[in-house]
Formats: sequence, structure tokens, C-alpha cells
Amino acid sequence: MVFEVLIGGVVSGCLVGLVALSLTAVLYATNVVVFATGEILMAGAMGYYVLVVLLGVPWFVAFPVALILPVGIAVLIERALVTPLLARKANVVMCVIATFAASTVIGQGTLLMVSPLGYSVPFVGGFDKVRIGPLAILPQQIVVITLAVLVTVGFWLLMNKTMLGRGYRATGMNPRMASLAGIDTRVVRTLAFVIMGVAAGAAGVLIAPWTGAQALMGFPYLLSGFIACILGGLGNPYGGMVAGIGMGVLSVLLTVVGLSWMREILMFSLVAVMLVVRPGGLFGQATPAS
Amino acid sequence: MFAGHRLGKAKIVVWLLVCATILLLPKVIQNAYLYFMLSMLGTYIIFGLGLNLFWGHCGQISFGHQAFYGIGAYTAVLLARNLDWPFVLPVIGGGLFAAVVSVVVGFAILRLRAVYLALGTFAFAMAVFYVFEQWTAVTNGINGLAVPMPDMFGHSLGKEGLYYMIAIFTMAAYLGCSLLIRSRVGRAFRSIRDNEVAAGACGVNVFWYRLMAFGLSAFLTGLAGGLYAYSPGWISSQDFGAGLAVIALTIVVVGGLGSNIGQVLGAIFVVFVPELLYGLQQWRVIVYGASVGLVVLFLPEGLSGGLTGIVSRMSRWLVRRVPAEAD
Repeated sequence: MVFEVLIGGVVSGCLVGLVALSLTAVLYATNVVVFATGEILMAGAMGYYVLVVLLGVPWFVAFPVALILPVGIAVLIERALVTPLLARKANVVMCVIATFAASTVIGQGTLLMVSPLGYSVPFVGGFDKVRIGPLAILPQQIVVITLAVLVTVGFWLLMNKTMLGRGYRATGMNPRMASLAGIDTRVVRTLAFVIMGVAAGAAGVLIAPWTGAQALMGFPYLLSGFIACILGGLGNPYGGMVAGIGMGVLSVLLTVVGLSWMREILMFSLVAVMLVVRPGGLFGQATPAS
Repeated sequence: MFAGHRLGKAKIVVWLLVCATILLLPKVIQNAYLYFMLSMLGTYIIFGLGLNLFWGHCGQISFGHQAFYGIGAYTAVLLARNLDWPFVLPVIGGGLFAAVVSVVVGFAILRLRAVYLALGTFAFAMAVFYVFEQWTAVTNGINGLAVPMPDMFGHSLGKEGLYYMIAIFTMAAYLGCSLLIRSRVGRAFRSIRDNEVAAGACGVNVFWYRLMAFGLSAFLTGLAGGLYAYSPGWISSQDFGAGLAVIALTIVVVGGLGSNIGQVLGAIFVVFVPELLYGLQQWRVIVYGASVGLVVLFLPEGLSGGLTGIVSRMSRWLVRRVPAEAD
């Protein structure tokens, strides 16, 4: 019983961690906070619903295919909004506002087109729990944890073992210096949005069985992702993942104790305190917040 | 000098026209819904002016002013309901309480800058939103609170009286902001916006002026929230969520950051443009989002910047024409 509750917390934390990773992927390279991440997540869930329920595609095929739409939207936002604004030397805040606008247009636009009740999506492997020693765990939960680990490890490998990742990190540290060193910062920017599309889309695909595919499903996850992102340290994707899991476990524990009503208040207050006391996050260096 | 004098005259004429319109509008149109929309227009103008003080003039980004709007609204309603204060006092109380909260929060949150300040204020506002929703003993959460009819000294103001009160508050806020930005304080705000380090080097106490801008803008926003509460006669926690953040952003960005008249244009845009799509209420938010995106991309200075461009081009054209005719 205790294990099952904790597993539930870890699983919801992994999902939040994926959103946090997608937010940091872009934040690190461009300093832009993408408010439309929630809608990109929703696109993943919608694509997965169409593939699995309407077309009857098996889930392991539907998973990668469903990521096409979110990655496409992410790159579209980069090409249509962020790059033209940055090219005009506009303030980064203007880019953030533009993504905020994109978020409302995509979210509310989808709401007009689809059923407001959303669509239910089946769990991978149904409701039969798998027993691993003392643990009873849903197959879908195993898939979530596995994929979250895979995405994080893949991100780490990309960042640390490839030239592309090296260029990405260099751009994050100092874009001008990186471009002087011959790194095409435009490619890096696109890469950041592709990573973001993959991570957020995967989160949407994985969340869908619990929440259903809904037009406005992304917003609460965007907020949780923000919190994880800040607690884990802005610009530290692994910290975001750890903070997300911590938040998932904490919120499950709060529910068990009967204090679930104070979850959001506690989290957001924690964020405000964190931003002020340790802008670098739990694991980050105490970087100046400027 | 002559041009300046002429400009002054033109301004006086415009102000008189605006006053006359405000005074006469209720005599011409007797429509409850229009009263409601005009009241909303007034509160949104004050909201925009408040946010613009902090964002447009002082250059500090906030995604969280909807919290002060909500704090002002709840404070006003609770003062009117529980202490039975006559009208105007609860509204001012709401503004003052929002300012107090902002100063306390500002000590911590104003250590942040730029995008981080935007995130921090957003987090603060979401925390406040959930407090509104969960603290049902005081706010009654989603179910909301009924707002007593506005009355002064035993006389109920009615819709028309409320309209005039909101109009007075709006004009006072506009005049106050216009005077403030021309003063020493306004210059200090702009110097911080343009270059914080240089402002500090010139002797501007950056910390205190940023805190002052935050407090003043929260005061105006709280005032707007208190006035708002009376228009629908009912407030619930849902009124002060992320949807209000979209509206605030639309007013300030579409109207034009750093321009007071822009806030009037932005509020007009927010209140009236969705009405053109009557019957398509769901389109409201999409229109806001799309217009913000388009303005950011193509009209960085907002409607007021665009209008100023047109006016200056027209006046240049006139100036070129007039001497030719005089000859």
C-alpha cells in the first residue's frame, strides 16, 4: 500500500519532470520561457488518441509517431515567433509574451474544435498490475518511469557526447562567444525547440490515459513544470526532473495526510521563496537572477 | 512655443469632449449591458494604468498583477459586507491593502529581474489565486460572494451612480498617472527602465523607486479590483485566475507599453472588440491571444505607438501643405 502510493507519486513526478525538462531545454539555450509548452503537451495527447483509439495503431508505434505533431508545433513557434523577434533584437520578454499568446490561441482554438469533455485513452496493458517482488505496479506506470529515464539519459548523452550538444551548451553559456567560435546558434535554437517538443509531447502521450486528451489539459502541467523548473534550478534539466519527482511524492503524501487543499499554495509559495533565496535552485550554483 | 500653445488648447478641447461624453452617455443610452461594459472599461483602464506604471514606465515585468486586482476586490467586498462601510471607502481600502501586500511581497520578489521577475510574480499570483479558491471561510471560493449594492449615506447609487463614480476614479487615476510620470518620480522610473546602473550612479535609489513603482501600481490595480467587484455584483475566485492575466497583458501590450493613453486604447480593445464577434463568445480569448501576438510581431509600440505614427505623419504632411497655401 505504502509502495503503491509512493509509486503513484514518483510517476506523476516523472511526468512533471518531463515538462520541466522541456521548459529548461529552451530556457537554457534562448532565455525564453515557452508558455505554449502546455499546448504542445496537449498536441501529443491528441495525436496519441487519434492513433491509438481512432486508427487502432499499437501503442509502441503510436508513441513515436504521436511526437511528430508536438515537435512540429514547437518548431513552428520557434520559426514564426521567437526567431523573427530575436532577429529584430527584441527584448526576450517580448518572446515570452508571444509564446503566451500562442498558448491561448492554440489552447482555445483546439477547445472550439474538439469535445470539451475530452477523449479517453486506454492504459498500456490495461489495469492488470504487474508484481515485482512486494510491488504491484501498472504497466502504464512502468512505461512512464522507463520513458522518463530514457528521455533524461538521451538528453544527457546528446548534451555531453555529441558536437551538437557541446554547441548547445556553449550557446547557453554565451551565445555571442559561441557564434564567434563557429557554432550556428540558429541550429542550436531549433534543436532546443525540437528537444522541447519531444519531451513535452512524450509527457502528453504518457499523461493521456489518466486525464484523457483534453484541449486545456496542459495548463496545470505547465504550472507544475514551472515549479519543478525553478525548484530544480533554472537551466538545470536534471534538477527539474528530480524536483518534479520530489513534488509528485510530496503531493501524494499531502493527500494521504489529508492536506491536499494546501498543495498548490505550498508549491507556489515555495517557488517564490526559492526564487529569492536560491535563484540557482536546489542543485544549481547560486547564480545571480538577472 | 506657438505649437506648444496650440497643443495645449487641443488637449483642453479633447478633455472637455471626453468629460461631456462621459456625462451625457447615460442620458443617451439606457441599456443595462452597456452600463456594465462601460464600468468594466473604467476598471480596466485603471488596471492598465497601474500595471503600466510598473511595467511601461519603470520597466519591470509583472505577470502577477491579477493577484492585486483580486486582493482589492475581496478586501472591498469584505469591508462592505462585514463592516458596512459606505461606498468609496471599501474601494480605497481595497487599493490600500493591495499596496501593503505588494510592499511586503516586493521586499523579497523585487530582488528578481526581467524574465525571472515575470516568473516570480506569476508564481505569487498563482499562490494568491489558490488562496482565494481554498480559503472558503472568507472568500467562499468558487461559489463566490454577493457584493452589496453600492450606497452612500443611505442612498443607493444605482447603475448610473456607479457609472459616474467609476468615471471619476478613472479620470483621477489618469490625471494622477500623467502628473506622476512628468514629475521627479516619473523621471526616476524611466531612468531605471532605461539603464538601472546609470540611474543608480546618478543618485536614484533604485531599490526604493522600484518598490514605490510596485506599491503604486498595486494600489491602482487594487482600486480597479474594488471597483470591478460592484459591476457584476458577484465575485468568485475564478475571476482572478490566469484568464485575467491574459486580459491584463492584452490591455498593456496591445495598448502600448509606457503610454497612458495606450492603456485607454487597450481597455477599449479588450472590452469592445470581442463584442464585434457577438454570438462567438468562445472566440474572445483567441482574439486576445492573436492580437497580442500580432502586436508583438508587427506593432511593437502597440496601438498608441501606431496612432502616434499616423498622427505625426499627418501633421508633417499638414505642415508641408500649410506654408504653401499661405504664400
